[in-house]
Amino acid sequence: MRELGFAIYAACVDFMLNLAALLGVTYRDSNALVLLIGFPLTTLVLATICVWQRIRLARLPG
Amino acid sequence: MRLLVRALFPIVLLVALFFGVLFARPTTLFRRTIPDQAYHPQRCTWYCHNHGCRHAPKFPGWFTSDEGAFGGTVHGLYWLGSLMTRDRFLGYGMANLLVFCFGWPVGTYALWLLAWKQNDALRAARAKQKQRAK
Repeated sequence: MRELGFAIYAACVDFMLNLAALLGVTYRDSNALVLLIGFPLTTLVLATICVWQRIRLARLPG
Repeated sequence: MRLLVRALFPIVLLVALFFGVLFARPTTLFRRTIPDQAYHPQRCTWYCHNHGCRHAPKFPGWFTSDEGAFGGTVHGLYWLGSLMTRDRFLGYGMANLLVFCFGWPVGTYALWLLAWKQNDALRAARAKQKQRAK
């Protein structure tokens, strides 16, 4: 289990290093881009859609 | 079938993106140890992960510096890891996996499924309204 966890963690670091190389930015930048912009933005967009839908459903008659 | 496509779409997309980027350059899969790579002046290597990145970031300092949002996140992950184990680096890795590879993706996926469920409910309700109007 520990080996699998380590392999996944290492693959994620390799992903970030490759992404940084592909985008021409640093490892720190690619981490910040994915984890501090990509993740929160996706969550925020989906949460906004869900809340908006919930409001629309609540306003429906009957 | 449509339900299956909706459910699988984000998973397939993420896996394709992840492995697409991972294999865009020569990479070792299933690492068992942290690679001890040398510093490279032009691009980031495992050195940047192991010893801290010395390259000049492209994004502003408030975002990527140790005192900024990135540093705060790293400190938060070390803190979370310290709640799980006394091994500082093992805890940091575990916290990373727990938050960014499991907890957050599962939460986001749940939101994705909820959005589709509510979308279907809205469509059904609108269809009912149209039938009543006729």
